[in-house]
Amino acid sequence: MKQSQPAYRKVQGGIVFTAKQQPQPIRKIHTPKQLIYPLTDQRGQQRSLIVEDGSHVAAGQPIAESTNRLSVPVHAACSGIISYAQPQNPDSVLITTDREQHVTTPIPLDTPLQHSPQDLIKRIEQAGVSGMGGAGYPAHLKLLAALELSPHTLILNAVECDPATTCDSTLLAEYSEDILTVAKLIMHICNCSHCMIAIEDQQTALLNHLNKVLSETATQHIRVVTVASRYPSGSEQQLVESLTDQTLRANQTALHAGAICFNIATALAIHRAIYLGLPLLQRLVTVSGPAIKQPVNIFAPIGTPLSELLSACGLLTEHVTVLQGGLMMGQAVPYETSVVLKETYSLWIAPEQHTSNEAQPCIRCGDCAVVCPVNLQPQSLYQLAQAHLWNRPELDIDLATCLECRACDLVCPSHIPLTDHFIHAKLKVQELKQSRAKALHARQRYEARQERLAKAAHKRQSKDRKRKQISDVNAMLERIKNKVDNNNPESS
Amino acid sequence: MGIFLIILLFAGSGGLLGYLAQRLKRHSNPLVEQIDNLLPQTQCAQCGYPGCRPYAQAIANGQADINQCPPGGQQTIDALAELLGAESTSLNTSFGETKSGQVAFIHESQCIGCTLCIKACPVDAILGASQLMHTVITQECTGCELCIEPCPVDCISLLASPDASHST
Repeated sequence: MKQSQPAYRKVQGGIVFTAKQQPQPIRKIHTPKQLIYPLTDQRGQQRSLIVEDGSHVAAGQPIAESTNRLSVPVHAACSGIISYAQPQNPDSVLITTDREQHVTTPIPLDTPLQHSPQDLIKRIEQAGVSGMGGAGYPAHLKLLAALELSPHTLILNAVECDPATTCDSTLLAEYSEDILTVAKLIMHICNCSHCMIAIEDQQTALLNHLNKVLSETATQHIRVVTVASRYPSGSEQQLVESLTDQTLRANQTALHAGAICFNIATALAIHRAIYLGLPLLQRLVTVSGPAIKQPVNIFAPIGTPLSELLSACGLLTEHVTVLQGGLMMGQAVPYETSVVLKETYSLWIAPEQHTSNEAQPCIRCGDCAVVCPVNLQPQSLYQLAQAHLWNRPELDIDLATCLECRACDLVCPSHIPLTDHFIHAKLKVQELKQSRAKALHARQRYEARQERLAKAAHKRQSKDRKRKQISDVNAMLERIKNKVDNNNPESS
Repeated sequence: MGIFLIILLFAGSGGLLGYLAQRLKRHSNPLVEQIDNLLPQTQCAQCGYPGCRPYAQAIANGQADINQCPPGGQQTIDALAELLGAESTSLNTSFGETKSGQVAFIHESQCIGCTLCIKACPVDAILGASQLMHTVITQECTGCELCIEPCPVDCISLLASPDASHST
């Protein structure tokens, strides 16, 4: 199975990190004192609570749901007492956990492969499974879209490519049997003919282990493929492009290339939802960085405050900057108020820095264009953004393509935070589009009003004319009558 | 024979082009259209023209400067300058100040139902009837301020637009 490994298309651009970490042992956090669940998800969808303030919930019980199709329900990860509004983050709900944990009884499916795809997708939706590789796209929507477009390949993504993140490969090494089981299940749902499990080429131990498991279970149609450890080869778009040898345009998904792609953690959550009947309650998070004693992979209940998670990992200093999403893609989050979300896969903890490299002017060296994985010219894009030319169509198209992978930031000799400029530009372009749409709408209404007024004026005029004609005729009749009367005065 | 064919071909294509020129005639100046597309369409008449299109017409004819649109602000001036290949200037404040994202609000307890503001609104964003309370449809309001002046009881004020509050 391993010998005939075909050559996959190389990812363009990108950055090679030499010191990739190997999978690490998994640790578990003690039940946190409290859990916090934000009620607005990252797309701004509001969820509504379905439990009373002060009531007791068991672990696994749904506590919030949304009527919006882009939102999945939220479950209590531990049992405890619900309390509504928090002073520090008002748009959230808090659970004060119990000493002894009450768990709802899970209802696993015995023979899932005999159930209909719709049935299984419904279960996955009820379990609150959403993409755990960072984007947080609900798994059931992906599967429903796959039912229509019928992809031929299932890709399970264990390529982290971020140099500090190891949670996906660790999960794959630890739960390889479960992953293979769920791969068959997803292939059953989407009617895929084969499955690829993608790992990085540096992880030879993992590759050997997986091949051993595969040969033991004699699983056909599933194989392990390796991709170059080149950041950002683990982004869904890059991975699908290199494995299917097709180019995806901006706004196209893996399904357009005939593939459906799931993160390993998401696949495992689907396994738990179907085979164990458990909703998505916890996730593996990689915690690493210079302010941490030792990098760890830790199972944390969804909703665990970062402060509690970090103290369990051994913080070296008090004042730290937390990058949620790993060293490369990570975005700084406020450490005191943030919590572990379904899409929190990696945390990079660095001591708080007050001095950062001052950005120098762009020298047009073109290094950023070389590393850009989606073939952009970041230096020109940066110039457009600096000149505030938000209405340029090329800016709009290129920004939609940008993955925000920060490869250009890393190589820029002038230390220009290019990605930050692009994120800002995206907002600006969006704003401009909205105001244009609003202006066009206002013009439509204005023109409709003008037309209506003109019509009304025309109607009034014609009415006036008619009235005048009638009165003219009446006056004429009157005159004729008077004349007749005057001519025959004796007849009256 | 050959000469007749050529004459026929020329006459035929001439006729076709003449027909198409009539049929596909552009009824408006495309430059006016382009300028109008960049204007904010508040129809507020602060520029001294009765609406956005007349102002666009005036710019295209070279009768008006590009810096007379207070609601559009610097962004519109820059966009117009780029379109027309002109030097970008700053807003001529004698036409008004740029105010970002505002909508009209009718204090309904004070409204006497005179319908004067309904007649003034260029985008039909005020709803009401004679002797009955009026209200502003917030999503449709462009914040042009044209309803403020006709109100006999001064019950209309301008508030920050709900869209503007969460955009930075």
